[in-house]
Amino acid sequence: MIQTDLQDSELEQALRQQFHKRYGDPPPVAPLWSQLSAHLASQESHSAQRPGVLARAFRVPARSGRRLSLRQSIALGLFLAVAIGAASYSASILLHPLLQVPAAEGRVYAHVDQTRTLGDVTITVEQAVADSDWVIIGVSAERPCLIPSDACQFDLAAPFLTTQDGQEIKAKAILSDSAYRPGKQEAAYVFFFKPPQLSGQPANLNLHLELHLVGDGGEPVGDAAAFDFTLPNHVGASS
Amino acid sequence: MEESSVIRRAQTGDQRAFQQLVETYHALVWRTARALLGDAAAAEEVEQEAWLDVWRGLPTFQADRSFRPWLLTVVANRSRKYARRHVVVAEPLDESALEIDVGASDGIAHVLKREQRRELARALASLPAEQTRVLALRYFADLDLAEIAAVTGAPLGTVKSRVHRALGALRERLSLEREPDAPDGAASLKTRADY
Repeated sequence: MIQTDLQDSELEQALRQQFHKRYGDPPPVAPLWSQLSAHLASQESHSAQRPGVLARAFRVPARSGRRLSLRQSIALGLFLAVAIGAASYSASILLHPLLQVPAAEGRVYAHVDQTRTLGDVTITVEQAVADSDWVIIGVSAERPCLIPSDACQFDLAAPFLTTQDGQEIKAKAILSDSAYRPGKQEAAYVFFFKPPQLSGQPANLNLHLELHLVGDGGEPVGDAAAFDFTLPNHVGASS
Repeated sequence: MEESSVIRRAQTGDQRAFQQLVETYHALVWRTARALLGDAAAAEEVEQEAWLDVWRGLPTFQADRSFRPWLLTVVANRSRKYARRHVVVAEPLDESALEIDVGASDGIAHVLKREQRRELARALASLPAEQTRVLALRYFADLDLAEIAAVTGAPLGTVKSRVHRALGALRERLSLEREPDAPDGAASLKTRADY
């Protein structure tokens, strides 16, 4: 018998077969497109999703010194009215569905309603609950954004929670969603932490939460938005 | 129709043109996400989010540039974002799934081929995750080395050495032997364990 190396082409072919058996074929494209087109239709209903739509609606020459016509002024006024109305439409609308997932639903959430800003990103800790299974914290965030673009995108880093006795707890799971609405980029997060191991069973938990924005490389950047709040400790209660 | 004109139509909000892009690149996007994350459900979620990113980003895309590298960058960013938020557990390798087209009547050649596949599966499972990932991107997603560097964020030289080391490790692990009078091809190879 002759000792031999597996030829490159044979090994590459074997690897292709191996990965194909392991990972399978792509799913059909039709269901994907069905979901995508539903999203696109939903975004179209917000009318100002794409800058092309804005540009076509107002047809303002980029470097024109002309003033807007009456019709353009009315259109712009209507747009601003919609945008301002949308701005008062809280980012928390994104948060509520996340709080209804099986792991989070059915709990009595306390309203925290603390808001901090990191640059031009406004972050609000809206609701939270602590029981024997989880400490769950719902957060909404938004950044002003007239025209959707990469520059409007933002993300929060996985947070740490600090308890009154100095325990630092890392988030076990994070649910999130984001969307563009006229005038702003919005995001919602639900952070799940394992409950702290505290001596005795205090009636309340004093918690300190710090949130950072994420940089391009995925690491936390800049200052932290710090939140201090107290939650009823529902030990023994869970969903 | 040329791709650049399809992209220009999609940039104006033409959903039919966008659908054409989705259909053209669906397999590439899914395979890349699958290789990066190792999980089928994660790959589907990431693909959907990536296409929505593409739709949002199309107005700023320069249509005279190549679409594929930009698309892969979007997929990579979405995959990183997903991995940061989830504990992605790669599906374990199921060796029984590798026993394909092998029947008792197929003779010794196929039995040997099956053994080779098993051996290769074991060898792959023993590689560091980073090496397995670059191999999956290369041989499952069919990305070239520069594209692998782009989606993993690693320098091209690092990607080359990872692929080289991974293939070397697999060859060493397999240590296959060939019978002198056997016909050419993988079907004639035996594993060291057979001797």
